[in-house]
Amino acid sequence: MTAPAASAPSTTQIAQVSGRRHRGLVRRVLDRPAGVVSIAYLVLLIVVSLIGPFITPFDPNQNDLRGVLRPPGLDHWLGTDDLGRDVLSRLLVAGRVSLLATAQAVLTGLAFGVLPGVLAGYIGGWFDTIVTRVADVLLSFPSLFLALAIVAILGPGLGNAMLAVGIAYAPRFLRIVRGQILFVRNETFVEAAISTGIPRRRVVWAHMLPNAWPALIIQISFMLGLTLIIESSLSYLGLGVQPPNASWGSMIGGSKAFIEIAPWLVLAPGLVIFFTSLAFNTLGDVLRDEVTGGRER
Amino acid sequence: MLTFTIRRLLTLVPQLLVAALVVFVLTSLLPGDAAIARAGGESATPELIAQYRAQLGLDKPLVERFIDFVVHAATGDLGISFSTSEPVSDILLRKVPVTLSLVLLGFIFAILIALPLATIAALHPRGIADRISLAVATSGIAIPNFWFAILLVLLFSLTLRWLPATSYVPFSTDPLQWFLHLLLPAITLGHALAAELTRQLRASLGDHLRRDYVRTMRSAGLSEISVVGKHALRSALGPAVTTLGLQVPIAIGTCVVIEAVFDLPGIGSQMVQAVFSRDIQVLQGVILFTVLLVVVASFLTDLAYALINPKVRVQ
Amino acid sequence: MTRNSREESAAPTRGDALLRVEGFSLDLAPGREYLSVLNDIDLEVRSGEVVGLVGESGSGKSTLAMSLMGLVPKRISRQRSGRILFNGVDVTALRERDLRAIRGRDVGMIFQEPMTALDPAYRVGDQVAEVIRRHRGVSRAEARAQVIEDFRLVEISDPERRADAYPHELSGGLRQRVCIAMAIACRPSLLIADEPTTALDVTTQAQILELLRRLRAEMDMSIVLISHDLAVIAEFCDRVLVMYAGQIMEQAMIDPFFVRPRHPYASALLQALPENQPPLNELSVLPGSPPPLGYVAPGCRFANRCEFAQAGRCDTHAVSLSPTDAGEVRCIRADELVLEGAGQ
Repeated sequence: MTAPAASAPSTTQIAQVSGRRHRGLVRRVLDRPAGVVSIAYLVLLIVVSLIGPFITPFDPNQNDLRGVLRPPGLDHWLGTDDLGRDVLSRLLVAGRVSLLATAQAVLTGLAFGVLPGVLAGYIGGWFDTIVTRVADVLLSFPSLFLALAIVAILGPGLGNAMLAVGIAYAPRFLRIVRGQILFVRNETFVEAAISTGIPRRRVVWAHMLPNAWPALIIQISFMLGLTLIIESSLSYLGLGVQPPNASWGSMIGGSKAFIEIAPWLVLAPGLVIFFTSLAFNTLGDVLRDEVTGGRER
Repeated sequence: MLTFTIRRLLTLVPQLLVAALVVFVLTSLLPGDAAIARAGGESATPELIAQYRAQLGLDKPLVERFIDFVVHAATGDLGISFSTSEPVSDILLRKVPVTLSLVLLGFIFAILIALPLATIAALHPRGIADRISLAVATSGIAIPNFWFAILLVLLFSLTLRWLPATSYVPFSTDPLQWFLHLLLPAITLGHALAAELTRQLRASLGDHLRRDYVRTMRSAGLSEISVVGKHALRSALGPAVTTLGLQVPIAIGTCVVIEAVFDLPGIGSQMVQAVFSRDIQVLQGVILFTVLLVVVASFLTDLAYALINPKVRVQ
Repeated sequence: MTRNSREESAAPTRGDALLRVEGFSLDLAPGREYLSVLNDIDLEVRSGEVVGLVGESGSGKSTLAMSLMGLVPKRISRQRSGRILFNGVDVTALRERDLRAIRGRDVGMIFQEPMTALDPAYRVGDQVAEVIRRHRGVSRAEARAQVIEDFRLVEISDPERRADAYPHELSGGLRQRVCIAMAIACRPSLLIADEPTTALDVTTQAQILELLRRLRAEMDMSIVLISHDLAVIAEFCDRVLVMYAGQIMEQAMIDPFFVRPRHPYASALLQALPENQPPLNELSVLPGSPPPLGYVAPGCRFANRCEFAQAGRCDTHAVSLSPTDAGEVRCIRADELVLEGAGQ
């Protein structure tokens, strides 16, 4: 590189400073009321979902045809559905399904997005052109449509649906990683690392990719919120989770017919979806504010 | 402007070809094909299947089939539905107006929500409108559309009995009923679309209000209505128009769910039906049509952008 | 209001104060906290006079220029004291509506960045015409005719064609001419020019200054010229005000100022002028860096960079402006020091 020698220390400094900044990121997110509330809610939700099956007041799949469509009360805190099943118990178990499916889709997206992104950014040239073109085409399809198409090919089921959603997301992660790799490819600290004899592969994973993490984490947070919505939409349509299992979305889909006489069947799962998605999105906003330094507003 | 339009129009052709290729590859991957379905399912005799296969041209090499597919699609022949034996193009012709009506009204609502909200928010940062705009921007993303739709039905149809909850009335039959039947679905869609639009418009208008030319206009004594409405907003609308264009696919995707809740016979509910019945031919037609819509929308977006921003026309 | 009413209401004769700022102090809140940006500003611009305002970036000179016509957003600013009288009317007490009527009609402004000072989405002629129509209420055709005439006045060749151009189709010099045309379209009695030539190349710079000089003579305007460049001020102004850290440090007629500045900061600025540097000699540069926005010191704000500063004297008490032969100075040692000016 022909950059003047004087600029070398400053760039490495930036890398170090940004590394230090990220260590403080968690603390700074927790300093913000919105950050601490969303994280607290999400942690609580995850804990409840993990132990959910063991703390349900009733068997979530136990029909009770003498006690159908009971309004919320002392017995059944959130009432019962059209088969007399306890809504709270079902909500607790469904949460696990929804959250796992959401995580699966985002992990699929990362799996399909990060490696091509790294390669496209690092190799460049025709490989980069092809990869970005394919990603652009994928992005121009509505992700729900893509999910529906793949469900049509592979058959209904939550696993297939989430695989589809994950593939639909891959281009977004790809773009972020590619951009960051391109950005740091010619930075001095990368040149320096390569010149000291560290294998290129290690340089990419240990020195270049970490620069993409902040942007990726922000995107993951937003994607988790969006996936939850898509998962619940597919399950609402009956294309996601299959009975007798339930996710929050399918609980709403299954009780739409009783909305007039038993609105709590629709309200409870919907609110949980809303709050969870809100928490993911708020967390994403807070992270973005803190990473980009200062709020845009 | 004319040369810009023509040049941009020419780029549509390769775009559509690539999209057609993706759809073709996707549906060719499907286990089972039209011939098996036509012959009466997996239990049909191999002879019968082979006969249908020849009849449908499925025995030809892939490249030739793709060319056939493109030529047929270009002439409006999208094949015949497996489940209803109706030409797919007829199905589309019947269902597309419903979805287009919904999308159009949805965008109008989105603009009606986003434009005033974002403008007031940008003029008074940290004010009440700014907080509301943030709430809309967040809730539009975080609230599941089908749930929001059900809540609207619960309130306006079942409780207040102001508006119909389901079904569709064509515009040509009764414009008022058309509007009333689409009102709740369009509000649902508009609320979802307004989120990103509000956020984007708020940011870009805020940015433009800090620009030097706004200072110049103010220093020349122009009224705030002119400075904001005529000058800053016009430039801020550029990125907003792009956002609108990018939201066309999202809008169509959202229609799938909204049409299901409100029982609207559009291409979204048609697609769900096709997935359930594994009607590949219909699925193919619907996706292809959607892609066409998205591509045309992006063309119109660029055109609108060029109209707003004189610099683009020159480049 | 029409143009006539201005002429009736205020027709100050040459020598009267057109603009008078008295003890004006302003705080700005670029972030969460308010910073003192302008402190106890006194300034007077007489009819037909050209006043230069010089200072390093961050000295508050641009904020002062914006304050003169109430253009600092109220949301992020707080006026602590003082008033700004234009034609005898306190503009700080005016309603936004009345301020807008004065801006562009009685006071024109031009800014540093001609590249971005015009709306990229409209033809430049239409932008100037909008200002004319706003203040004069004339028809489109009349406004257009006036635009062409004004373009001729600011020496834009082929004005009909240029009026139909978009800003990005014009050079920096042409754009600045358009901005000037817009500023003088209503024949204002005061023109505020904030670094009007800084972003331009040397040749264009000279042309624009020449144009401003001519317009001032023809239209009998007062001009407040803000610049960090004393050479520009020297060439153009009758009187100069030196700003530092939100205060006016010295105020003097231009000729005595250049020969014998009274403030050490002014002296340092003069000696840093390029034509003042003997060839092949080390450039004389002011040591230290300009103070940050909102800088406040217990004593003289320049003391920490001043080579004549005396501990215990200069850094203890705030210094006020005291009169001199040619103007005013804010230096406790002004009478003891004999400072070097520009060695002409």
